[in-house]
Amino acid sequence: MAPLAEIDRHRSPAAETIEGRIIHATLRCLARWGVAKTTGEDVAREAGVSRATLYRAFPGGRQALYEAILRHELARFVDSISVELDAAASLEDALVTGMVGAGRFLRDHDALQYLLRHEPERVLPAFAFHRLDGVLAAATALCAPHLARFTSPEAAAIGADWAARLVLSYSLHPSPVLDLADEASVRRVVGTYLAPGLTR
Amino acid sequence: VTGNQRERILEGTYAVVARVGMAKATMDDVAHQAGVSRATLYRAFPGGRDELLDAAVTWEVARFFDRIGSEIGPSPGESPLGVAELLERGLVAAHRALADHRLLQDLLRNEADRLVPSLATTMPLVAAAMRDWLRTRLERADLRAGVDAEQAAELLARTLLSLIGTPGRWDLDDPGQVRVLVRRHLLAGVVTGAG
Repeated sequence: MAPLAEIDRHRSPAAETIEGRIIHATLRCLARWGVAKTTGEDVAREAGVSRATLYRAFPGGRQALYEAILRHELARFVDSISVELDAAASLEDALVTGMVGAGRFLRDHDALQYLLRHEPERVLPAFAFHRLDGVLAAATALCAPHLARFTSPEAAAIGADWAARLVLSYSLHPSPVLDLADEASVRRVVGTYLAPGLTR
Repeated sequence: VTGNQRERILEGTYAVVARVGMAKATMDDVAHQAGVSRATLYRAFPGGRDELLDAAVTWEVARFFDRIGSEIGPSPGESPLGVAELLERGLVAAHRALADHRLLQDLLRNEADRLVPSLATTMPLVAAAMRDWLRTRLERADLRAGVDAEQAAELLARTLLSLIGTPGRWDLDDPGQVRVLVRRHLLAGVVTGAG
């Protein structure tokens, strides 16, 4: 997976373009039926385009379409939390903002949630063992510069990595101990357990 | 089905998977390997192959952490370990055991799509077991003001599990780095005088 920082946001198509319409339509299909049961015909019908248009837009087929979706969703994710991270006023603020933003994004992602429930084999391997390395590196590249405004670059990178691990753990396996969507509970956890370990 | 038979079936499943992989392991192979009838096998695992494979994964994960637990506990004559020593030893031992686990590494290379979802169904159990284990140790330690042993134990358990599977930026073969990770970062907010 490409590090988030390398993603060219301008290449992520807006909803008005044909590519954008197809990407959004595919996401709706995935949220309804998953990967295995979504056909090219479903996507074309949902997007309101002909199959010929679909194949012209994504000549690389299903694989190219899914890669475009992944890039599109990552860029949307980066955009959605970058703005808030920019506005953070302290280390704790930045950690809370990033964790809550990421947790809500993952929780509210209908296609991702459908796949986690019904086709976990298509999603989970990307977040485990050596394949998680790329995800953590990307999350660190995205968040560490924001944290580094308030602590050392080293502690910032460690904090971003730690927060990303917790976000993934609690998103994939929710628990009453930490509800990522609840800002107050994330703030308590960050202030009590993470911030003291990220001071220098 | 007796506990003994169940144990033999799970051992048999492990042996069959080690030989042919998860996708190709059949109920017949396992019955044969374990020396039980098909009827007994289906009585023990009415859900069939998928249930059996998930159970075998859970069983091996439990054995894996049992081995780590006995490896890091104080050796005879050694005084009880502090939380920091336990976490350091645990991280190093688990990281090494994972790297040396031949079957796990083979399956991750060849059948990650089958193994990882099965491991994921086990993870909440593992996280809960590790949380309870840590909690009893934290309850005996000097906790910082505002720290809840249960909450701290769960956060630590999940962070440790993530680190064991994916060290990422940390070199868990380097005792110096592990010491910094545990004392300066993971425990700094939990126990007094960690660093």
